Amino acid sequence: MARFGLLIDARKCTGCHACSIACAEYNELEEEVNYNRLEFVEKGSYPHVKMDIIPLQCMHCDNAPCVAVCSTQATFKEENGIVSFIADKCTGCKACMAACPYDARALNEARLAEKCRWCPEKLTQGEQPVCSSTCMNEVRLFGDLDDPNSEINKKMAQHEVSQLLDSHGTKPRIYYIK
Amino acid sequence: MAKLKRRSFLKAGAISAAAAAIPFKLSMKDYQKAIADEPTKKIPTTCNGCASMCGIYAYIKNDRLVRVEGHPVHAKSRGRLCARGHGMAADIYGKGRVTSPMKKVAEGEFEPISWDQAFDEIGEKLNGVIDQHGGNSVMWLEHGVRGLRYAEQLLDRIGSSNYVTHYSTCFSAKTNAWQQMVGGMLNGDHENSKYMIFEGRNFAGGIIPHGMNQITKAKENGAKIVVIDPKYSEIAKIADDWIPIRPGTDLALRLAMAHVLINENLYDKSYVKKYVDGFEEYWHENKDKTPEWAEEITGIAASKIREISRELAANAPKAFIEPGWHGLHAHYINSTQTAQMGVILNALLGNFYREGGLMPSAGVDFGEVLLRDVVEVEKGPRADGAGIEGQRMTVETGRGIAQTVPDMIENDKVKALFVYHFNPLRTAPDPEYQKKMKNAELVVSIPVDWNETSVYAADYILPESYYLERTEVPTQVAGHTSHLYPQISIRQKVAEPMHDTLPLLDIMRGITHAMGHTGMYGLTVEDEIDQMLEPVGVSRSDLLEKGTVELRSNKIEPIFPTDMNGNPNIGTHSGKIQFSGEIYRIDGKKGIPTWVAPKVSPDPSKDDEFRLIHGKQPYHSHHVTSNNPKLVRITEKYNGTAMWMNKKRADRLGIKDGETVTITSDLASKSVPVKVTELVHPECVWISSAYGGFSDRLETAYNLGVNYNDFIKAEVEPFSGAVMSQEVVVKVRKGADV
Amino acid sequence: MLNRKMWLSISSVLVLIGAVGIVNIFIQGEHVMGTSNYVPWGSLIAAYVFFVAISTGLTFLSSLAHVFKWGKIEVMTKRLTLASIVTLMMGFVMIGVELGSPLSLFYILISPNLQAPIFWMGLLYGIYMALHIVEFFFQLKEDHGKIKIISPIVLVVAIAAQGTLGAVFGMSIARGYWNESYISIYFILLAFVSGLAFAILMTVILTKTKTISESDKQKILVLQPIFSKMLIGLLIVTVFFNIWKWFYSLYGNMPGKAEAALLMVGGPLTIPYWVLEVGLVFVLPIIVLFAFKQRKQLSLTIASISMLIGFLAMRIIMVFAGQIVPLTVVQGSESTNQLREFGILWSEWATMGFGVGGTILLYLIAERLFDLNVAPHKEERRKRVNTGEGSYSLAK
Ligand SMILES: Nc1nc2c(c(=O)[nH]1)N[C@H]1C(S)=C(S)[C@@H](COP(=O)(O)OP(=O)(O)OC[C@H]3O[C@@H](n4cnc5c(=O)[nH]c(N)nc54)[C@H](O)[C@@H]3O)O[C@H]1N2
Ligand SMILES: Nc1nc2c(c(=O)[nH]1)N[C@H]1C(S)=C(S)[C@@H](COP(=O)(O)OP(=O)(O)OC[C@H]3O[C@@H](n4cnc5c(=O)[nH]c(N)nc54)[C@H](O)[C@@H]3O)O[C@H]1N2
Ligand code: SF4
Ligand code: SF4
Ligand code: SF4
Ligand code: SF4
Ligand code: SF4
Ligand SMILES: [Mo]
Repeated sequence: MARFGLLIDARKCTGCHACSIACAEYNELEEEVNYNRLEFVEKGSYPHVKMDIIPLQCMHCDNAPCVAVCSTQATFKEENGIVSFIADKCTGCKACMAACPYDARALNEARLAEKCRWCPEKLTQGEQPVCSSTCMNEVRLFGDLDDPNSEINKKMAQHEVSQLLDSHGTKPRIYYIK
Repeated sequence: MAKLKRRSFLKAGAISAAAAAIPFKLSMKDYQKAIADEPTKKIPTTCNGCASMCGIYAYIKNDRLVRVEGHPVHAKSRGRLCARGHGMAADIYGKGRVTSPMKKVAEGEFEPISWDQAFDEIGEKLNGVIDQHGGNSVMWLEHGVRGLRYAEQLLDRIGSSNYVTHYSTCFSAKTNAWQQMVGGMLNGDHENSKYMIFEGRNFAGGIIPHGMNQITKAKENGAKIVVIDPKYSEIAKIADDWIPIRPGTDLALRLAMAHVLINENLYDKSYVKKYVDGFEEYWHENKDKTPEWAEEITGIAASKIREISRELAANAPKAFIEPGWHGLHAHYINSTQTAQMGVILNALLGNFYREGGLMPSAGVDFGEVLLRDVVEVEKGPRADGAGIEGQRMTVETGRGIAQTVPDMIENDKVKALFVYHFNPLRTAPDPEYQKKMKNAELVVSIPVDWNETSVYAADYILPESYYLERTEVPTQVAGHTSHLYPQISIRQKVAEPMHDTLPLLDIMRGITHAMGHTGMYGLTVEDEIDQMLEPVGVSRSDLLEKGTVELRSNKIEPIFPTDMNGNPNIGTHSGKIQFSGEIYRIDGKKGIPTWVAPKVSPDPSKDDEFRLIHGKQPYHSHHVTSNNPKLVRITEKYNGTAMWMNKKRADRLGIKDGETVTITSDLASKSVPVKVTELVHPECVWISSAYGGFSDRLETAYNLGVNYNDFIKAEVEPFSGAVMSQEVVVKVRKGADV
Repeated sequence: MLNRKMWLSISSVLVLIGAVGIVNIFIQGEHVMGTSNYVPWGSLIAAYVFFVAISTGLTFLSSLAHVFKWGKIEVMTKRLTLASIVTLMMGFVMIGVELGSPLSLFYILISPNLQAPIFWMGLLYGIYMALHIVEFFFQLKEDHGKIKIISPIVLVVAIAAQGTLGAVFGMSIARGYWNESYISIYFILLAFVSGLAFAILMTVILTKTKTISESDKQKILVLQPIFSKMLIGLLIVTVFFNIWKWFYSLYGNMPGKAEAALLMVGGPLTIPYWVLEVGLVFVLPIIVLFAFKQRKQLSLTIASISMLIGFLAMRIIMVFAGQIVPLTVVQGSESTNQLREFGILWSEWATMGFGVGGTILLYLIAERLFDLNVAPHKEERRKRVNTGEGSYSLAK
């Protein structure tokens, strides 16, 4: 069983939002719903200034607060590490939204709290999800953390990585190159 | 049939749950299964989100377009599409489309008519105009080259020289200068470069996806990236160095960089000797353009100018100053000279036709299409004066001047106007002035949507089928990026037209036949494709199946073109790279670039004066995508309409981040939200060029943000005929316009 | 003022308007609510907490008779239980409207998540409701033997439910403002106070109606000073808790907590907090209760109404304060420059109005349906019923 993970090299992101639109089209999301987003951080003062852009989406936390609070197991952790969501079971209580420290979920028209799925149909076929495959800067790299030969593991070995809000104990599955 | 949205899956579930009182909803797994079970066709074609026309695959399910993905072969995208490419596709079902031919019945009011009626009436009126004023009074104004092959046939038949493109609003300073000096345009070989300067070129905002990919690859391989831009643009994000420059002074910077290269003997002497004509003349003219001199003008430290010039030289020939696109090439009175300096700096580095330097586009020769009913009619002079001595002598006739068409109408040079795939009322300066286009006797707009030009200027609107609904002749994949092997790609119909629309070929056939030229446009698009592909060695069915084909035959080599005797032979009059534009030697000028100050500049003593500058946003194309709800959602979420203002200047005016401010020029006064930031030069304010829609039939775009064209006059840059879109000083004040 | 018809019409109007709001929310969805992806929980969550807390408080009071053998309160027991059930039901209506697909709650039974506070809360409130109705049934039957057994269970379940409700907020590591270990106890405390405020209002109203006998009225009047003493005592404890919370918030180093606390000093919640929460829950009632000792009834009315309004405001403030400070996922991000937008739209106000109206209406109907007086008056009441004065009664 694969254990999926995602490595994001935010240094390369130029904020084009292709990932977001590609995801929305692929997953046929409603206009108001996005599974991923960008955070912009301005640092310094003119002319010695720079901008960080950090792509964000559901972290598929190993210790996911959203899974913990979901009373019906509509949101649950799969063996492969993906935090999945079953629409039938969702009561629309939004507890997961209140609980997610990453603001990673969005409510749809049917008032169900959707989120990034990590496109399992792509991952299991060894392909990259569309947010990754369309990115002109190749910012995202999905892969199997259990496979020592996977691209992601090779790349992780070359760089120092960090996780967002790891102090919360959520054990996110997304790693950022420092 | 309604697009089977996921929403409807969930909703259907919710309703059945309520009805049956047994919770039943489709789970994600069922959803995937449902998707998997349905037949999905995957058809290759090309994107029309912008001029790059990236190869795409369209996914069709139940005769509906579901989404698009990048075509892995196409050199502009190689499987990676930008946000616009993904978003634009959905506009096939968008609300803003013109659904059938329309005839103006009153100001801003139209009634649907049949194609036959449209053809008959337009044909008759056109004949009337031609009878009375001659064929030369008919003008075809278009985005550029897309409609050329069909426009040309009509213009040739009636004897009109008035084919005009959008280029003067885009980058004609570059197309003109490079044609003069290099005989054409070369592209940065980004992937193999070691040192790249992007000056007024934001590759990550004015996107070509695979081009940008090559740049990030090069960076990963150790290339250094320097961005010179008054605004911290998207590509500045990945730059090693962002050098903000006083807008409008790039010419001074470039002159000084050339000065460093020559003065410090860093330029490639043997290369220059062999391949350059006019070096001495240039140096003679510009010996005094030192970095210290430029520091004063540009605000960039002389030491910095020396540093980047030396680094360029150290990495040459795998180094270049990016030839650029729109950025500096339709902005200032000195744009042509700035573009000329782009040629000169690169030539000094000896990087033309060198790996990692500048490379030509790989090309193929298509077969000629044999037209029927070809009648030669003598043409009159161009209405825009391009190429005419005493008028706009230096302006390329192939592209012309787009922004002053109302003058040409006013002066009775143009009586009938076709506007194809172009929206000058929103993408050319001064919309109130552009609206006067309607004063021509006949104005026919051929758009896909209710753009401003159609609504405010057209007598007839003839909607073209959406790009996903039509098949076109194949095109070469070329321009602005580098790839070794030529590629051809084809656009083909992937969905039946949603509305009563036609492809351009059918529209032209209809109009000309109604005019009585019944032999014209006799070929079907399939005939044309076959004839074009004849010498290429790819069959129509093959190309339609593959979409984009790379031809391994004529690989381009990094070799300076020579004639049979081994002499340099690029398409210039000396065969070499010209340091002077031959044609610019007019009015006692030497044709050699030297310092020309911008026409207007903000007064530094006035706290509220700024130069208004603009730029692309990665998720919008010019103006057209601002009616796409998905892309505009990004605008809304990320404050995309905001005007950027430097923090220090804002503090002085008491302006706070997020507030509304009012921008005023001689022409207009408009309010926008402001983003107070450290990321922009203090002497200018920056706005995205995507907004300011005023066609109320484009609901999403309507009244969203402001447009730089609102603030500038329709002027003509003296050498290339470009718009000079940043020769404007605006006043900015706190608070909304009342 | 205490005209039954008038109360019926006011509450019916509230219920009708509320129904329109509720239908609107179900048809139009989340758009017509002041929530967003950033502020997912809105006013109806607050209203839910408000009603179920009152219910818990009332349960506590009614169980004083049976669990803590406090005879004096017996005169009100059934009415307190009824009010508790009614407010609980209104709480359920609030949460039901807030849920996107309430029917999916069915899955709580077949795939429960034992880790989730909401599961336990749902379970406990479900049990609480069921047992409460059973308890009420035995109360109506005056089956003291069974009441004695069931009443302590109801109390325990009610307190546990209220505690888990606290945990629903308290265990949220994402939201600094809510994330506290003592929040469950605080919730229980607040539940007692709000139940007490509600009960005090009931004593005022009941002593002015014709439905109960003069002797019972006297008994109820005896309760009033005791209730108000209890109230003042509990309020002081609550104030203490609040000061504690302020300290924690400002100096506790919990992400988002201090920022949220600052919303109440010079932020958008400042006026609501100091006027509606501090003013109406603490300051005004305490002043009124001490200052107008001679006009007991009036001061009790003012104090209790003030507190109930204040409690609703307090719940709303708490729900929003936990969410409108942007989560800092990335330090210094532009998206955290501004507070998250929030609001309460008309459909939500209407739904809350439904809760208030529904409480009154159901109570009035039940008052007619059931015999709520204590045993000695049973005969009298039955006579009334038999002579057609009452409509009909389940009581035998
Ligand atoms: N997303 C997107 N991509 C596109 C397009 C689009 O509309 N949207 N259009 C396509 C087309 S047709 C074109 S022409 C290209 C355009 O591509 P670019 O030419 O790269 O685009 P611009 O944003 O117009 O200009 C580039 C930069 O010039 C900077 N600039 C402005 N004034 C000055 C100045 O005085 N000095 C210097 N040094 N810099 C200055 C702006 O801040 C901007 O960042 O993009 C192509 N790709
Ligand atoms: N405000 C503003 N002005 C600009 C620019 C900008 O970014 N903003 N950029 C400048 C530059 S670099 C350029 S290249 C020009 C571009 O100038 P335009 O070509 O005018 O720009 P677009 O906004 O892309 O408008 C294209 C128009 O073509 C029509 N169209 C789209 N697809 C089709 C089709 O398939 N068939 C037909 N027949 N019509 C179609 C649409 O109706 C749309 O209104 O604008 C220049 N001026
Ligand atoms: S597609 Fe890539 S570069 Fe563009 S915003 Fe997303 S991560 Fe950044
Ligand atoms: S990021 Fe949020 S939604 Fe995703 S698994 Fe973690 S807690 Fe859940
Ligand atoms: S909104 Fe749905 S997924 Fe989220 S916690 Fe509630 S039931 Fe679970
Ligand atoms: S992994 Fe799939 S669902 Fe998640 S953001 Fe990427 S494309 Fe969207
Ligand atoms: S760059 Fe983007 S919009 Fe332009 S053709 Fe390519 S995918 Fe389409
Ligand atoms: Mo352009």
